Amino acid sequence: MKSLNKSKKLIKPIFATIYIELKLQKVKFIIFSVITIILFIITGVIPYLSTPYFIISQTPADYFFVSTNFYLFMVIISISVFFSGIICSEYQKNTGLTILPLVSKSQLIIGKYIANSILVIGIGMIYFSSMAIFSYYLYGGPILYTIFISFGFLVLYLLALASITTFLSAFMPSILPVFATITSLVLFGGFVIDPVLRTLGTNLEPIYSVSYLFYIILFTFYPNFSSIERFRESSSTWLFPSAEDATLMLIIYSIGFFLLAYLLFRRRQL
Amino acid sequence: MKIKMLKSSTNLSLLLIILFIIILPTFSSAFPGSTYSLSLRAGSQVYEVIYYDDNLWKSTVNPLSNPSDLFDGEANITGAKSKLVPLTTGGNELSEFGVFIQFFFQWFNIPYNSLLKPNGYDNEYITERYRSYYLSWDFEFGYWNFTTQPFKTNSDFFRINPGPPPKRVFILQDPSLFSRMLLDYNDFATVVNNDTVIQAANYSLPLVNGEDILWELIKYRLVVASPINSYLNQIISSLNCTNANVQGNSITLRRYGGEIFDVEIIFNSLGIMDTIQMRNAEGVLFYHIVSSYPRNEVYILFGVFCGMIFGLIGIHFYVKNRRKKEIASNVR
Repeated sequence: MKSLNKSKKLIKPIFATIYIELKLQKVKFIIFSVITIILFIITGVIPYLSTPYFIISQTPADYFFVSTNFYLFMVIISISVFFSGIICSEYQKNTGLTILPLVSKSQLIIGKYIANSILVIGIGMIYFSSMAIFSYYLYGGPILYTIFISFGFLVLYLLALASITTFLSAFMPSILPVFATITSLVLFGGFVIDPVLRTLGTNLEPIYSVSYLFYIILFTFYPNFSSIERFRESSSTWLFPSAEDATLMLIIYSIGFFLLAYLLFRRRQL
Repeated sequence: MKIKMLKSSTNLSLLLIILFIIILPTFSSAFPGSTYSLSLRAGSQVYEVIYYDDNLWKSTVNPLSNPSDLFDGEANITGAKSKLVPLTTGGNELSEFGVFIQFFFQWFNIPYNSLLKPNGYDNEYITERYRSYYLSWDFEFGYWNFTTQPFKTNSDFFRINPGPPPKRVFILQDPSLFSRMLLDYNDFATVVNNDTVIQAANYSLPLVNGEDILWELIKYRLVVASPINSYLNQIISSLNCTNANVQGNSITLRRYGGEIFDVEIIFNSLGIMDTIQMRNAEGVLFYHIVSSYPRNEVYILFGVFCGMIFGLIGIHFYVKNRRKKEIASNVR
């Protein structure tokens, strides 16, 4: 009974933090949801419906693949906006001073991480739902089941990026450098490291690269993704990671960087 | 002040005119000078066999056939469904050779590669002899044959292995040219049939009339341009079909099997076949296919979603107002 009360005492502030954070980020969430829907309409609807001359992907899987390609930018921006200031803004705006006496540092970071994760996953869900609904419009039923597998990987990917961003936020002075670092890491990270490795003559699979890991979300749309050739001999390029490797790496990134962020946050003085 | 306003409104009108000029061609699908335009839009269509009388079919159409011979798959089972997914549309120009290959040789299983081409009746010969060109639209679609099972992920006509490519239909921009097409083909068939080498191979090309062509066009899944009624009328007058008539967006064709029967096809606003009904001479229905459109469900869902959003906004403002009033009354 005592231990139950103790754990209740520990968990209650986390829920309170989640609630406060959700309320605080409500407007951001609405704006991002609207932007996501607009982005989807521009990239995934208008090209097909505005004119009698159209070219539609041959299968729903192709359609999901093409539409989700654009979504990478939205993932980066939403993660940056929701997580860049998760720790550093506490120091920048001195908000931690008012909250910390009531909740511990660990409760605060866990609460904020969960709340923001719920919001970015929610935005992802809006995008995938819109895609599923419009694919039903274009291709009829049944909706391709692999969208759920792909969404599972999207959730893992968002959590991994969220942990990396939280880690960056733990030692960077303000939101802007965090935003710039995470954006360049995802968009250009692979372009810098991969050619270097290739010039060294290795065909090492870039499983470490967050931009490469994104491709698991795209390729799992294909029902036969486990039998698709992952390495293209002609150009010596890896197309996408295996489901097992991607899951493992994304979990390692999610937990590893979150722990690092937590340790840094604990050491950092307000 | 007035001059400034006048200037800004002139600029705005100019901008609107320029935008109109830029945007208008994007939405227009008619070829320059064409009286018809393409109404096709993206969005799937599901066909369903809702009625089939096997005995009447056999006694009327053919005792040895069933609807599967005409509509593929399990079209002979009530409740079977088929799906059509528009994939691409575009403009095209068909030469007479293209017309022969795309239409006649396919419809009548004419051995072009194994017989006609080796004996000199190739692209060069046909293009040299028949110099007609046909402006057309082409429409490619994924197609799932009639089945009582849930639809497979990929269509039965799939570009990547396994299976044949997506179905492709050509829509003539000017339907009056069907008569030229028919004349040229019959002329070609006569020439080929008079060739002793072809005769020695014990083969002859079928000579066809307008009604045969119309029937093949229907089996080919004829897609028509807008205005639909005028386009259909133009086809039957061009092919000189006395056994066909057009009413609104539907065409009825009288055929002869074991007995006389009528095939009525209603086209939807996009120009794609929507409903197919087959009746015997007494007007008794023995086969019926109808269409449904998944996009309609999406529109309903979208409407419900918008309603919910507006409802939530309404509730939000209502609660906010009530709180404000409560606070105000408490202060007083």
